Amino acid sequence: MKHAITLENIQYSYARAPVLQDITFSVTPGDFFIVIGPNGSGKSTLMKLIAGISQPDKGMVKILERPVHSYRRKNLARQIAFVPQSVPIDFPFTVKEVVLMGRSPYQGMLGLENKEDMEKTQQAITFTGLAHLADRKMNQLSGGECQRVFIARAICQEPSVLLLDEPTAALDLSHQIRIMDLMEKLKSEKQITIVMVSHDVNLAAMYGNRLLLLDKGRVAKIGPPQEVLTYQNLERSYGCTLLVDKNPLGDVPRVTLVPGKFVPK
Amino acid sequence: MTREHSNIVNRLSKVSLLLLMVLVLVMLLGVSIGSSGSGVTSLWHIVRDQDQADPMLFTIIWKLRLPRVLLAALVGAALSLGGLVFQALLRNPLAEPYILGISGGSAIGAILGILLGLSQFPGITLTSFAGSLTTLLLIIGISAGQSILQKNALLLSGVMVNAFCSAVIMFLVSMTHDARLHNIIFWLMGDLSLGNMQHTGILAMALIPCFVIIFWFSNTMNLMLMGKEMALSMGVNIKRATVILLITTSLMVSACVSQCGLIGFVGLVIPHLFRLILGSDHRILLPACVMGGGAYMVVCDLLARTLPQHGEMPAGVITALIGAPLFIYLLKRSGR
Repeated sequence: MKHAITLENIQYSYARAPVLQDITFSVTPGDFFIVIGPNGSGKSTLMKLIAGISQPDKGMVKILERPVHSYRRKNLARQIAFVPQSVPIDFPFTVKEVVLMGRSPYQGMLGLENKEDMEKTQQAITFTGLAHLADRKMNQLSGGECQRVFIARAICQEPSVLLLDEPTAALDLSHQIRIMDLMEKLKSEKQITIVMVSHDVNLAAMYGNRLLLLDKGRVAKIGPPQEVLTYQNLERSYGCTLLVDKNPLGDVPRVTLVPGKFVPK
Repeated sequence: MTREHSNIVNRLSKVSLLLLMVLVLVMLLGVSIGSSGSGVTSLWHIVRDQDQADPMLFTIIWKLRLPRVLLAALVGAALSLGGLVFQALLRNPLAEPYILGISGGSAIGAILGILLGLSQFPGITLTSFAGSLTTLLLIIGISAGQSILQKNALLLSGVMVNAFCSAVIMFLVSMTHDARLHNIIFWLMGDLSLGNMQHTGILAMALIPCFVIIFWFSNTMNLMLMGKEMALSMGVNIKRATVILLITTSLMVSACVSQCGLIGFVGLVIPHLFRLILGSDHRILLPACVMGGGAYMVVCDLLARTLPQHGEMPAGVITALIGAPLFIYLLKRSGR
């Protein structure tokens, strides 16, 4: 079977300190693939390597079985879209302008849009539930709304893979669930492979069909949530006491933090 | 291509046409008003029946005022554009060639060129270009360690570089008794009075290709404002665009500085004004800054030569009187 993403023996250092080591795994088309792990375990770096924004010191990243560096920039942008963790919005574009930027891999240097670009922009805006905000400026939106605009922009790139770096960080509960439901809709309705970093292991358990637990720059465990989210794996990587049981919503693990006062001496 | 194709082209032509009319109007005004009298009607007479016109006024208008107005328009356009590009690349709405000290650096280069006895083109322009590139690299070097996003670090380095450049300029001026530098104080505050048709023509030939190159990258600047990571993931070649834009802009600024000295804050006022009215799309902002900046400079120069009872003042005095308070206001607002 053709893989959407393949990483082979990836090694990456920053200022001589190793960030990622011996990373090998692949993502199947149609996966909802979620990377979890403690702070500083290299999750964001991993996303940047897959997006082709950083280059590994050793090893190879392949998108659709083709090395990432062999793509022309614009062609890569048609296969893979990226929503970074933080996007500066100090220059207030309107929602529509930002979403339309997602069409730039299909446009010339000046980005003159045609009818098709306008239609796809409109569709992406509707799909993400932003129609009522289309002419607003970005700096007038809430964090969750901004995140949806960036996702709509990514949809306009018509990628086969969508990468997101902690899209639900700093969002309130309703916005978190909205973003995650949106991802699931993208996967099922548009057949886009979703690869994302999440700091929330319970969201990861409920949405991801495959998880990757990253620890100190190495793959600690990879597989379906039931195999990755065991208390042994999690306690070893995160270094704290956790309670893992079955989620009442379905056959997925539920992770509960155990405060010190509940830990038997 | 359908009718609804590209409302961007539509907006672009509307904005350009409107501002072009403003620019032409202001230039007409600039040509017809001056210390030796006359007005728009006598200008009309001069153009219509050249034989009956006052030969003195005829000369003043064609040999003095017209080149000066054209020079002002060109310099205003280039400096506004310089501000626009620096603001986008450094992601800082307060960046501007003068505030960052880049104009100061090219002034040092220009003075060194004058002292070496080089000709205006290409000699002094090139030393001035070298000066501006050096300060640019210096500023980026100083503020890069703390990431370009650190707004205040960037502005502070600019202020320091600027202070240093002024000191070097005054040092050079005091150490030499070069007659060619006697007008230096006037020149340091921005002097448009030396324009003749030949210089203005050469400057236009240097600046207009720069305008075209920057316009070619206007959409790239839009994408780059979404941050490095997102821009890269949309297929933008950030390195290439940054290098080309910085070099083009430095060239543009140094061509202006070597011709007219230091005129500050134009690149702050004009892009800010148009961003308020027209939004953040650089494909629209760019022609707006070229024409609006040109018109603004013509008006500032007109004020500079008509306000004083005797003689005139440097045009940079007017632009600083308008620009510096706006800068302080914007700085205060951005802190909130």
